Amino acid sequence: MDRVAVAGVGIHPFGRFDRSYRQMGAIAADEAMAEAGLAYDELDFVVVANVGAEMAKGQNVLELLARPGIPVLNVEAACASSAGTLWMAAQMIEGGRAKAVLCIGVEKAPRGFIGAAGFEQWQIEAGLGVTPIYFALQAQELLEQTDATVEDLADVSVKNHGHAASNANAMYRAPVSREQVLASRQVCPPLTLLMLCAPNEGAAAVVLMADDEVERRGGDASVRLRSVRLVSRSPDDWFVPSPSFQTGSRTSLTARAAAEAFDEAGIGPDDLDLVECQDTDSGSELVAYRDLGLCKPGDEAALLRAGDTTLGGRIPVNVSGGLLSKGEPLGASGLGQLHELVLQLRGAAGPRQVDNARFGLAHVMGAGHNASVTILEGGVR
Amino acid sequence: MTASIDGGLRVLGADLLAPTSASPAIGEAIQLLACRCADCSRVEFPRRDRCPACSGAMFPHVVASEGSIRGFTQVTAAPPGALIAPPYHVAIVAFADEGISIMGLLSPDGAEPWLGCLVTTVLVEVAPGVATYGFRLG
Repeated sequence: MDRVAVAGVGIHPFGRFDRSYRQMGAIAADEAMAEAGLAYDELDFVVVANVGAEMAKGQNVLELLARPGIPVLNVEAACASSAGTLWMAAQMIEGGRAKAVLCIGVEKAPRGFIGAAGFEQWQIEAGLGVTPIYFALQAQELLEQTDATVEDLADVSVKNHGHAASNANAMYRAPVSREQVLASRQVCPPLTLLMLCAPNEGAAAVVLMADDEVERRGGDASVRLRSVRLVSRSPDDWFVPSPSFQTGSRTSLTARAAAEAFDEAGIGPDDLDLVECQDTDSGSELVAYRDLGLCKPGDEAALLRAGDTTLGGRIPVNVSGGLLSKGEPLGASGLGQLHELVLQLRGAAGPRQVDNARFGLAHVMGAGHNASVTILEGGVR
Repeated sequence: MTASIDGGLRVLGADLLAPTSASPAIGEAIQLLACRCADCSRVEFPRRDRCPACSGAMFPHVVASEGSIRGFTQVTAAPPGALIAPPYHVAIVAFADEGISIMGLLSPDGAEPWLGCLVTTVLVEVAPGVATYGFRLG
């Protein structure tokens, strides 16, 4: 895939706001459309990711902006929702059925544990319908099977909060220390409050266009979508909300999405310059190192300790601050990652710029067994 | 095969249980009712009609009562909609014969869990008058 250009990106900060989801979505959309130099009636399609709002949410966001009369659809795949918009839009453009598609991700999530994650009523009433349980069990297994320690779990959070200091769109921008992370309230041991991301509010938008259309209009087609892959559950995957797994043969949604994405892009993990991954919790980021091919199984903590995944390191991860610092507006988080990658690939990320960034990868994973990996290339002429 | 439990006890996920007596009490050993594929022998929990691996027909299968703890954690804040009061322990238990690991509550009357320790499947109290399956050490 090399003919789909990212013509514009927009964002509404992630946090808590006295604004409706419609207003936040509209703000992000307008910014992306202005960057792309497009009017709404020049779009072929609008696709909107959201998990928790009302019916016809994309139509309701667009109503604040314009009435272009074009198809508007809403997609939902839990935390991977906004990757779904990219997946649809990219295929329409590659297939020649669209020249310009606006993707919007938006969420106004309630505070606290994420509800309605697909659990059965008996799981909820019994106290088993709790997403951090899954992350805690995964983290415990990582600590048991590798040399990773709780201090490493804390240091993932320290790293990502450090990255967020210069990101005005992040919710939590103050640095935290290892001691603060370890001393914060135990939510599901070994995970403390500061090792888990907070569901929150925000929006992000991306305009994808056919490269020749961008060039015909004299726009900037230098950032290209090289791959977007979306996977759902295979027989031996395990995630929220399933109460059981096959003991000896567990597989990884993320690893499968990553393998497909590298294959489609024709590059490998060593070619990447930066990664934005689903750090729902500190352990998930370490597991993603392995599943995305950034290190061998067992070397997750070593990669972190060497500073390789810190800004300035070999393969910086979550230089935006990640979900741990930005918070997670479910429908918007994936397009928020794209926003960061595009800034980086344009060389416009300010104090957190990754030097000479050419290839960036975004990874999301969500309840109901969804994962997506997207690869962007910058500087394409 | 659905559990019938007397005594006014409301059992969460009652159709997942295979009671070993007509009216099991809190703390009494029970077994879980899973299913096994007629074609590939894969065991799945909860029960389902069709095998997710080979699409074969699934038949009821009672899981062994004893397993070993593969992972555990604690929930310290009240989740929305839960009837159980925090803090409480949750474990994932591996059943060797079935090749499946199942998540459930840890009975509060047992010892502190550790990885690999043996547990028995029992009926545990979620709240007064409400029960579900869980695991007890020893």
